[in-house]
Order: sequence, then C-alpha cells, then structure tokens
Amino acid sequence: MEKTLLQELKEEVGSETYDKLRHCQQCGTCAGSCPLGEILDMTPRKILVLIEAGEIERVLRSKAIWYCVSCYLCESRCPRGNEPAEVIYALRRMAVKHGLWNRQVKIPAFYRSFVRFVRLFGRSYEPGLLMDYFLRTDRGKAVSIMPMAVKFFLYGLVGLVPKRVKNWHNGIIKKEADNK
Amino acid sequence: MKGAILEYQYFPGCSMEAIAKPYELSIKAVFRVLGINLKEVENWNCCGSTPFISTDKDSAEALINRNIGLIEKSDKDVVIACSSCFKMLKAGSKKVKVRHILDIIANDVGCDRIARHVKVPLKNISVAPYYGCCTVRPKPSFDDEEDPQSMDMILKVLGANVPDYEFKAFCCGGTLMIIDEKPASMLISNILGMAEERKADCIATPCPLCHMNLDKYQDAVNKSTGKNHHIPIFFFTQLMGLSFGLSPKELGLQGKWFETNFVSTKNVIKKIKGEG
Repeated sequence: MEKTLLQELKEEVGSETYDKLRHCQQCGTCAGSCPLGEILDMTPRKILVLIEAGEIERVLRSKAIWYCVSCYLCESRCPRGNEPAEVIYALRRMAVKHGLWNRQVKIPAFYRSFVRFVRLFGRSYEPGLLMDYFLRTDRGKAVSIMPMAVKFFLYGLVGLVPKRVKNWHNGIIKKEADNK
Repeated sequence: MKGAILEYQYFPGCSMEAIAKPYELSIKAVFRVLGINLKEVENWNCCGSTPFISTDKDSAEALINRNIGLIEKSDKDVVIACSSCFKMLKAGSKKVKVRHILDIIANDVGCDRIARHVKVPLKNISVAPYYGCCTVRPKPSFDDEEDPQSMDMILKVLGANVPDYEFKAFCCGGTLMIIDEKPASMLISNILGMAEERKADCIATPCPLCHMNLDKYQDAVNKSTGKNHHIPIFFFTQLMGLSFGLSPKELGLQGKWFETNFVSTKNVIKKIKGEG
C-alpha cells in the first residue's frame, strides 16, 4: 500500500518527535524566536500547523524549509520539547525525494554542489563547490566573485589542490550506509 | 593535577584546511603553551554538515559513522573547534567523548592554569564574545544555550573587558551569505552592530564559519545594508595567544604576504601592547 507523506514523515523523524509535533500547542514561541521568521513564507509554527491540517505538500514546496538556518532557538525554547529544525531537515529530504523542492530557491543547488565534492574526495573542496554552484545557478556571479576568490588565495585561505581522504571512493559512503 | 600534560584527539574538519587555517595555527600554538597534546584523528572525512542531512540521511549517517569508527580507535576525548562538525559528531559515540574546544579550555584547563601563562593582559581592550548558535545548541550543551559564559570567562581571565552582549548566541546565517546576501546580511549586521553599540574593540568567536561571515563578508554586509560596520574579528585562541606573548604570525593573524583578516586587526594588536 502506498505510504502517505505523513507516514513517511513519521518514519523520517521517529514516532517520538512525530507525536510531539502533532501536539504542537501553537504558542508561537518558535515563530517569535526564528531569526528569519518575519521575512519567510512560513514560520516554524505555521509549518507545524500546516502538517497537522493535512497540507504537508504545501510545506514541501515552500521556500521556508530551505531558509531555516538551523540555529535551534525554536527547539531550545519550545515548551513542549518540539524539534522544528529536525523536522525541517526531514521535510527537505522528502521535498528532494519527491521532486517538490521550490525551484526559486538556490539552496538545494548549493547543497548538491557541496555533496558532489565530498563524494569525490571525502572532504570539502571550496573552489570546486563554488565554481560548480555558480556556473549552474548564476554565471554572472561566477565572474564577480573572482576578485574575492583571488584574495582568499593570496591570503593563503584556500588551496587549489583538493585535500583527499586516503583510499576514498564514493563507494565508501554507500558501503557504510549498507553496513548499518 | 597542577601542570599535568593533558591529551586529546583532535578532529579538524574541512574548514581548518582552508578558510580557518589561521584558527588551527592559533589552537596549536596556544595548546603548546598550555601543555596540551593533540593527536589528529587519522584520515578523517567530512562531517557531512547541513548539505548531507538535508538531502540524503543514509549518506549523512555513513559519513558520521566512519568518523566515529576512527575516533573510537583511541579512548581519549576528542576536541573539535568547528561548530558544524561538533554538532554532527557530539552524540555519536558511547565510548569516547566528543567535546568543544571552549569546553576543554574553560573546564579542563581552567582559569588558574590559563592565568599562569598571561604575560600581556588584555586590559586595554573590550571584546564582544560571539559564540554562534551551534556551539551551544542543540542539546546536549556544555554551556547555557542562550547566555553561555565559558568564553566570557576565558576572555576575562586574559584581562579583557567583556561587555554584556545580548546577541552572543544568535545565528550568523551559516552558508546563507554565499547564497542569498540580503537576509544573511541582516543577521550578520545585527551581530556586528550590537558589538559596536557596546563599544567593543573587537569580536571574539570560536566558530570558523561565523568568523568568515563577520570578517570576510563585513564589506559585503555593509553594501547590502547600507551600514558602515568596522570591527575586527578574532578567533578567541588568537586573543589567548596574544596575551601569552605569542606573535601574530604564530597565531595565523599574519600570513605570508598579507594579514589573514579582511578587516585589519593591527590597531587592536597595537592597543593590546599599549602602543595605541
């Protein structure tokens, strides 16, 4: 039987977190604490009530789930011990999995570039990451960041040669995941 | 024991090999003075950070598990200075404790031991203590989640004046500044502005990404917000090293040709030495 998005969310976050989120009392403490709460299409409070109201797809398509900066003030202050930041990570994964992520937001593209180079080298590679990201999303910026990039290089803050993990290959990630 | 050699494993994280190289230099220099041995975890991999947990949970866990396997080869506590790596690894092992560098210095090393090495008290300067968000959140936290004191205490032991600083554990936006300058500039500007309002000479931070946002992007933040922030940013270990009498070069403040900071720290360093 096909899983509903709600069932999938429950599996992603675990039943304890899921139950807490379904019992959100809508006090708005998280919304008031969110550093970007005023400018986003949804606050953490609204995300939780939309899920409760059966509008999870609307949340998966939102910009808000990508703009969460993971500052954890919402989790720290929630009177019910809710974990909006963790729920938002799960919502991001679901949005990616179902192809519903907001195409106007560039953050998923940035994450994809980051992931690409860690899969390749086992470590982050900033020159590759930034070139890959800007060439895909904003070619003008790929040129305009050059002065700053050169400055970083001259200041000794970025190396052109990628750092690598010994005996690393993308298969390691898959192997570890399978060994769970 | 009074002057016992402390020993820890050290997990650098990717930023220590790049933008936060100065931080690592200062950590190693300061730990040498304090008599702390660090052994780098061998062949560590990227912690995965936000990009992996936001897109692929299995891979995110695999990256964490591989690192945990490596750190569990020893029974020594692991010290981490990158907030992101700390967040991803802190609850990962039951055998080995993964701890933040502020925790180690404030609680294991302690005030007395730090004070013994202070040759140039920082009494001429005022330092705003900016912890960043993931240093102290989410739980489990080694300090207060909204009003932490560990770095305040360390800076005071060094002799610095530490003003009240309400935004000490607010978020700088992380990687948002690279992707969307407008909202990120608002967050960073608040942090810079509050420090300037409190008449701080500089800001101290323990987080590589926060340092980058506050220092390297200070100009871009000014352009985006129309403000005129001008306040230098230090890694807190660099201030420790300066008070221990170490040179800017040893502490990563002076690179091969240029200062490593975009907003110059020269005036603050002069002020510390009583020269300006």
